[in-house]
Amino acid sequence: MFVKRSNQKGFTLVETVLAMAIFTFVLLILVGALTGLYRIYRATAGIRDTQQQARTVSEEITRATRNASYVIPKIDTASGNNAICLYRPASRVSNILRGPSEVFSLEGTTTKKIVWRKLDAADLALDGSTVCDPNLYANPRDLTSPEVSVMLFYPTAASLVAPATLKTMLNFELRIASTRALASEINTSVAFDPANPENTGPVCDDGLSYCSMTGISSGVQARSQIAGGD
Amino acid sequence: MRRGFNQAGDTLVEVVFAIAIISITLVSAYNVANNSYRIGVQARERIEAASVAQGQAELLRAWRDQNTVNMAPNQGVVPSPAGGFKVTMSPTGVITSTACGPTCLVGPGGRYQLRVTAAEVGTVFPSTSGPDGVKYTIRVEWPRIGGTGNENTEVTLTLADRRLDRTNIECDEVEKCS
Repeated sequence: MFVKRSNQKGFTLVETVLAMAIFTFVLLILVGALTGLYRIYRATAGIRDTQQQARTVSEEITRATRNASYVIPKIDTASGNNAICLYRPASRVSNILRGPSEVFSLEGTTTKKIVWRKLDAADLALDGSTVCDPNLYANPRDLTSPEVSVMLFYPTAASLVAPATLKTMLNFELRIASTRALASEINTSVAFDPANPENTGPVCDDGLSYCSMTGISSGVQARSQIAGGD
Repeated sequence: MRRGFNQAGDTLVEVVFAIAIISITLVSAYNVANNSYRIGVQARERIEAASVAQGQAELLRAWRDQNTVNMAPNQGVVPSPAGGFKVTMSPTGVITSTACGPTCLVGPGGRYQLRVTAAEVGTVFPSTSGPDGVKYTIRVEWPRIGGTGNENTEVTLTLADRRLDRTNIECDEVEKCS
């Protein structure tokens, strides 16, 4: 029952080394697991952000387009800063095309791009020209949150009736990446190929790992055609 | 009977046990996180697939709207090959229908297989005048994440054939016919 006061026997060197080895091994595994957990957390949060943003942007574009008379897309192949200009219905009395109503445009640097919604600066009569210049619009409002960057914003439009310049069918591709995703997981070097819009654009490095990106491709038809010869 | 100088530490068995418990806890946490990530990816894929289907529905409707002036009888609204098809819009804005079987890839990253099939509905008019409308089934499939087989979602869309109004009514102006 009595423990001697002078029992000060320690560990041997072998024991210490062994203990340290085990401890290091376990620590490495723990750190790896924790890093993995953190990556998953970021990826999950990123997916949630991109989903939310993709839905918001696509809903806003859809709603605005349904209320527009016709739509003109602007493609900037150099920067990828494309835009969708929406026009309001022509006056049925004079058949004068009303000026630009609003625009959805992509702007920003190569690493951080934001979709903006702007309204017309002045109620101009357009007299049939089909200029789509985001700089003519005012009152910008950003549609995307700071947590995401829009990698791809690609509109196409078709005219269902003559004249061919007045397009009423809009199709758009959106690809939104999370800025929470680790940079190395997203490969932005792939150029967008307009001839094959469905299979290109920014992609995840291996397509399976923790890459937070949401792509949406959808279409919408504008409310009405331009009043013709009324 | 408190022993003042008991300097005996944990035994190796105890340490190993503790490590095992920590590991199990961590592995479970990892699994939970991984599952939540997988569910997030599944949700994203459903959204992407739904947007593909919705875009296709809109294109079908646009096709119907642009073809109201062509009054060929006994013809579906959109050319509908038996094996399925898809409607696409080129960058220059031309809407086309392409025949394709189960392997027509569309959508973000080309991961989604889209197939539209058509069935004529309602023939109240004489058969020469064609169907009242067409019911389209838009089916989108994509590979299941972390598993075998495909996930799928289906959207049906019934479009009235507006050409019937013109082919079966004997007067030119709609106002006089009502």
